Parts: sequence; C-alpha cells; structure tokens
Amino acid sequence: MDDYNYAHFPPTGEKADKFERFFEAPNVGTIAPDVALEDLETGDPLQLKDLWKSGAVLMEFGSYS
Amino acid sequence: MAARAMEEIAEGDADRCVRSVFVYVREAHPAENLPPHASMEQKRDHARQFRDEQNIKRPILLDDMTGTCHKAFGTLPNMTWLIGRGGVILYKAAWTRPDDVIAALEESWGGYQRRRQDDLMPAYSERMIWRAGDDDRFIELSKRAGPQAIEEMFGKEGLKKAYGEKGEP
Repeated sequence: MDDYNYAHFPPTGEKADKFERFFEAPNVGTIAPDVALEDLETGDPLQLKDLWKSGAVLMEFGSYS
Repeated sequence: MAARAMEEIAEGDADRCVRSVFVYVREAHPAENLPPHASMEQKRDHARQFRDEQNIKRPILLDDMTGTCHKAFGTLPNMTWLIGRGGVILYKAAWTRPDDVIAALEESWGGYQRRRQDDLMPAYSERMIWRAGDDDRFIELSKRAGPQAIEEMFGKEGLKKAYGEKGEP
C-alpha cells in the first residue's frame, strides 16, 4: 500500500510532494482519463468512459472528512 | 464541502442531459471517527455514512485504495470536473464552487450542445476564482471526523472554538 491514504493533514515530506497534481492533469479540451470505479450501491465495477458515452458527466471529488 | 449545493444542481440533471456523480476518494482530514482508509470495506463504510447522514442522492463511485482516479484528475480534495459526451473535458475546478459549476454547465456544456445549430467553435479560457475560507463552517463539519481534524487545521484555538475552553469534545 502506498502513502496515498495519509494519516495526518497536511501530509509532509514525500507525501506532500504528491498531494497536488491538478496542474499535471489533462487540460480542458482534451479527453478525460478513463478509470475504473466501484458503484457504492451495487458494488459493481464501472468505467468512467461508459458514463460519458451518451451525455455529460459532472464529477465532484471528495470525502466525508 | 459543497455537497448539499451540488445535490441541488443535480436535481436539474435531466433538464440539462447531465449525470452528476460523487467520486469518493481518500479522507482529506482523517481523524478519530473517520480514519484513513485501511481497506475498501472501510472506505465503503465511510461513503455510506456520508450518503446517509448528508442525504446524498447522487450516485457515489468509489476510487480504489491507491487513488488511481483521484491521481489521474489532480488529487485535490474537492475538485469538480465536467466531462462532455465522448469524454471531452469541458471544465475543471480545483475547488468546488457551486455557482461557478452552474456557469460552466450553462456556458461550456450548453454551448457544446448548441454548437451545431448555432455554428459555434470551441475556444479556451482560464481564470482564477475565489472561495470563502469559512473556517467556522469547517470546524463545525469537522466535529464529525474528530478533534484531530480540527487541531491539524486550526491548532488549539480551533479546538477551543469547537468544544469550549477545555478544547475537548
């Protein structure tokens, strides 16, 4: 398991270097990454590209804390 | 987090031909009641708590334990991205500000939908937006996670604000 799930905020040292990748992520106008996720309700895997096959997708990223 | 306001935006999904989802990533401010995920089952449990206690109607999609999706999209704790049909990125925000999201839906997605009938061509702009700090709200919401979350953001003063002079729940 890597250090993605840090125990303290803000993550320091090497963990802090990986905290933000926003400006490395794809730009507006390019094609979004296709990634596998899990549907919380069903437990089924799904691919992001299947969501935007027929329409737009508005994705909010977050957690409860 | 802007989850409630984003729920309201999602109520207009059908009219806009948009599907709103919430991608559950790592705990941004792990603490006593919401520790860092040690397993997918724990992540699912946190996500269910979020769904049930915050009345989230949008589908919640779980990222894997190493944050593959989160990293691909920029790793910040509360981003919003609008992806058009076919996967074209129409809008990306480092932080979720609901009124800016609404503007993006109207301009970027609306324009995309009208591009043929109105003979529109894409252009690109980039701007800085501003969000209110709202420390008091963060402290109040973070009680759910636990004192660690509050102390790591605001120190002992934050704990006093949350719990009184003793700084303890």
